[in-house]
Amino acid sequence: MLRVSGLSKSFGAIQAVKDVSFHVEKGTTFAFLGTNGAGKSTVIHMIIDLLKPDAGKIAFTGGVLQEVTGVVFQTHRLDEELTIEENLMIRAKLYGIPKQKAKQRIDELLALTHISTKRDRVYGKCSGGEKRKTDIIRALLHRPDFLILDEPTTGLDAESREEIWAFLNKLQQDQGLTIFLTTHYIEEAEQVDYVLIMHEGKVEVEGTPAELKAQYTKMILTLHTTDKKKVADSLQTTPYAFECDYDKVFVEIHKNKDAIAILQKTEDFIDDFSIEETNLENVFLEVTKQIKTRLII
Amino acid sequence: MITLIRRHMKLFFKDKASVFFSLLSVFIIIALYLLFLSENMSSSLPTFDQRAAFVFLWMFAGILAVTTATAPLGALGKFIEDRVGKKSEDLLITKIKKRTLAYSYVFYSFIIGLIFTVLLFVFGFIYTYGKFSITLELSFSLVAVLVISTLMHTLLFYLITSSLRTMSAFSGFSTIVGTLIGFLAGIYIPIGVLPIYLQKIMILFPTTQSAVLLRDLLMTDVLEPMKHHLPNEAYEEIIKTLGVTLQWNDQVLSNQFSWMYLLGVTIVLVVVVLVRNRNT
Repeated sequence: MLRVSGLSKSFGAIQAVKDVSFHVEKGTTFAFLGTNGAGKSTVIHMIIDLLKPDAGKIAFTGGVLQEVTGVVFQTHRLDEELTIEENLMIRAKLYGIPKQKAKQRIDELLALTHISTKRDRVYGKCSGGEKRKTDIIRALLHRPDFLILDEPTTGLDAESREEIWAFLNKLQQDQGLTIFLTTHYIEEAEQVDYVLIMHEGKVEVEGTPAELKAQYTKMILTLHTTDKKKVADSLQTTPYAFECDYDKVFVEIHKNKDAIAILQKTEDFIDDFSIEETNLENVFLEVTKQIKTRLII
Repeated sequence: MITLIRRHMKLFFKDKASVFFSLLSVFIIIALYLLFLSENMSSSLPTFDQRAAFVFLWMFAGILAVTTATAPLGALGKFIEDRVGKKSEDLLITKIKKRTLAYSYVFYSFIIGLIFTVLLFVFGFIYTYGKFSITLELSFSLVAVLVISTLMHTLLFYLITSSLRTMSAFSGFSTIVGTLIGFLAGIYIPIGVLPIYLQKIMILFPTTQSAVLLRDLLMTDVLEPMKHHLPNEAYEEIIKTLGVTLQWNDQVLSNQFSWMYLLGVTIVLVVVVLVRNRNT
C-alpha cells in the first residue's frame, strides 16, 4: 500500500529525517513510535506531499495520493467558527463529492461516531472527543483506503479513546482500511500489526509487537526478602543476572519457567515473589536507553 | 475555488474584529474629518458656493482610495491565520492545488475590498445627495478606478503578506499600512504642502494615483463653482496643493498618466502573482 525508501529531510543544519525506509501492507495497522522531535510528523508531512523530501521515494499503490489517503492531524485543523456540518460540507466539496452524496456520507459517519445530534454545534465549542471524532469523519469523507492518524487520541479521556478505537477497528474490519498511526500511548501500539520506533530522525527498530517484545524481553523476577545476602549467595551459582535493592532482589529471566529453579534455590529466604512481563513500553524505553548509552560511549 | 472563496468570506464575516479592523483606518479618517480636518481645510479655502461639499468630496475620494487598500488587507488576515494555524494544510490534502488555494485568497480579498468600497460609496452617495443636493455620477471610469485600485492593492498586499509567518508580523504590517495610508492618499496633510522629494515619493505609490483619479471623478460638481469664483492661477494652485492634480518638477501629470500608472502597476502585479504560483 505504501512504500517509503531512503527518505531524508533537513531544515538548515538540522537533519530531521535520516534515510528512513519502511512499507505498510494493505489492511494492516502500522504504528510509528518515537519521542517528541523524533521526526514522525516530518515523515507524515512528506508522505502526504506537504513537504518535499531532500532524498528518497514514497510510492502509493491503489490510486492518487489525495484520493486514497485520509489524514487526521495532531492538532485540530477545522474552522472553529463553523459548525461540524458546515466544516464537513466544505471539505466534501473540496474532494469533489456532489452535495447530496456528501450529505449522505456525513449523516452516515456522524451516526457511526454517535455525534449526529451535534452536527449544528460550532466546532470551536465542541469537547475534545467531539472535535476528534469530527476530524476523523473529515478524513473519511472521500472513502480513503489509507488513514493517517497523527497522535489521534492525545489529550482525550480513556472513554473517548476507547470509543474512537472501537469505531476505527470496525471500519478496518468492514472496509479493509489501512491505518498508519503515530501515538504516545503504548497500549495503542500494542494492538497494531507492525511497529517502527524512530529516534532523532532514524529508524531504530521495527517489527511486530511480539517480535520486538521477544527481541527486547527482559522478564524480571522480583524476590521479596528480609535476607538479601542469602538470596544473593544462592543466585551466584545460577546463570541469571540480578540486582539487589532494599528488600528486593531483581533477577533477569528469559521465560516464566526459569523462575522455578530460582524459587527452589531461594525459597527458604524469600517472603514473596512476582514476575513482570515486558510490554512495548519497556521495549521503547529499552531502545531509547540503549541509544542514549551508545551516545555517551 | 468558489467553495474556498465562500468559506473564507463566511469566516471573515463571522469574525467581527476582522471586519472592524479592515475599516479602522476609514473610521479614523472619518473621525478626524469630523473633529478638525474639515474645519481646518474649510478655513484655509476661500469662500465660494459648495465649499463644504468641496471639502467633503475631497475627503471622501481619499477615504474611498484608502478603503480599496485597507479592506482587502484586513481580509488577507484570514490567509495568514490559515497558514499560521496550519488550516491551509488541511485544505491542501484535498483535491485542490496550491495555486487554487492561493488564488482563492486573492479573489476573496478582492471581493471583500469591493464590497466595502461599494458600501462606502453608497453611504457617500446618499450623504452627498442629502447634505449638499449633489448627485454623484456613477460613471464607467469611477467603477473602473475602484475595481482596478482594489485589485492592485489586493495583489500588492497578497505578495507582501505571503512572506509573513506570524499573526504578529501581519498585525505589525497592517498597523504600518493603516498609519501611512492616510498620508499616502494625501488626506492628513495635502500633498502640495509637503517637500518636493516627499511629493515625488508619494506620486510613486499607486494609492496616490487612485486618490487623484477619484478626486477628479467625484469633485466635478464642486470644482466648477470654485473655478468661477477664483482667478485661474489661484485655482490651479489650490488643486495642486490638495492633490486633485499632481506635479512632477514643472510638469503637471495628466489623468492619463495616473490611469496608465495604476493599470501598469496592476498588470505587473498580476503577472508576478501568476508567475509565483505557476508551478504550485
